[in-house]
Amino acid sequence: MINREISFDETTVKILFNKYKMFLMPLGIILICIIVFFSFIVPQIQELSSMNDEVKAVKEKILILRQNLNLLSNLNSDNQNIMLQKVSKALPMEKDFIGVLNAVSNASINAGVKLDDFSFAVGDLSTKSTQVNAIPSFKLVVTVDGGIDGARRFLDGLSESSPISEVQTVDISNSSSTVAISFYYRVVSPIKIDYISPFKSISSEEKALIDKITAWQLNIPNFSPKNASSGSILKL
Amino acid sequence: MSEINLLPQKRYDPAKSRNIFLIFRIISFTLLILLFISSMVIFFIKLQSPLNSLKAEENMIIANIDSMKEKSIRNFIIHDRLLNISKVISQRTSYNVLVNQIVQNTPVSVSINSFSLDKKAVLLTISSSSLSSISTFLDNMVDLTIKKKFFSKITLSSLSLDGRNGKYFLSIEGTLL
Repeated sequence: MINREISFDETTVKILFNKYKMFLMPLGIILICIIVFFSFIVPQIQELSSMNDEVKAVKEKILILRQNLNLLSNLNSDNQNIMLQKVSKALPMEKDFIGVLNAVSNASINAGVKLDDFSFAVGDLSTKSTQVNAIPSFKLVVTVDGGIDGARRFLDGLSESSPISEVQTVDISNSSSTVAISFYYRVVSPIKIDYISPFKSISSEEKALIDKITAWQLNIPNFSPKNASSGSILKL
Repeated sequence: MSEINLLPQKRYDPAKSRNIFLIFRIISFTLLILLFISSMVIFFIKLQSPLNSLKAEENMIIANIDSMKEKSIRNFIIHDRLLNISKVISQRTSYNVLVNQIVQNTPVSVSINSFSLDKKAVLLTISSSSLSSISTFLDNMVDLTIKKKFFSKITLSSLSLDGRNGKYFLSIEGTLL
């Protein structure tokens, strides 16, 4: 085997340096350019890309914000107050005993039956079975004078009254009927409005619901004389 | 006999070396220019970016919406109430409809003596002097069950005759759907 030894003494280095010194500067520039490209230019390009994404996101946000602003600008405060009154009467913010008594009283007047005894379960928050998706309620037990015909008309009237209620039990005997009713309310919890999510305007379904509630609150008769007379066949 | 050449095959060529140097110079100069141009392009793109103006606009709109906070809160409450009202209305049992259905399916000669209902069941006692009317009533109730209108099951609890006034009494229990 040939033993190849290369020795770099001072003279060799000087010869090599003199031979290649003109290449040092361009090579150094190329190296610096490469280093600058990867350490500065590439991150800047990446930043530009994320900036573009951010611009898109902000534009989308602005679009939603503008729509929300337009919606709020077009809302009439007086109309809003009227709607708020109506919906709050249908689903009060607290236990509305006066409203409940009015509703029961109106239902009995419309049904042509006399109210006898009634009792409130004031402190009793309804059990799970009487709640609809955790909307609190309180119970009223009322005895109405009249048989099935009167009770039927009373239930009809009650189903279309404010505050909204749900009948839990009905016991009808010959001369009187006992009805247990849950009246719903909903406390206003602290509101944190997210401006970035689109605000909703009143939809046609919601408008129809408000009209329905308004009709109930105006005490428009909810059963026709024809329906009322259909129960007269009963001999109680 | 073969010869051994101890002299190098290639000789140093200054012209070739100069050419290589020239190529290196061109490459380095081009890279330098490209680096400069790309830096300037990035700088101007960043300068032209609408991000800052968009953020300012966003803040301005938020401030405007904030000035109408009352309206947005009222809007939120109205929607929340309406949603819950419609939930209650759609999920509550319509007893009035059920009572109406039973009354409508009761023959004229049949009297309803007692009627009791809750979320699960209906207990009904009827009376009539005609057994055929009671049969019609039962048929109607069975029909309601078959059509799955209100009941999933109807149970006949009792059938009795009061000899003094000649009336039949029927008690049924209907399990609600």
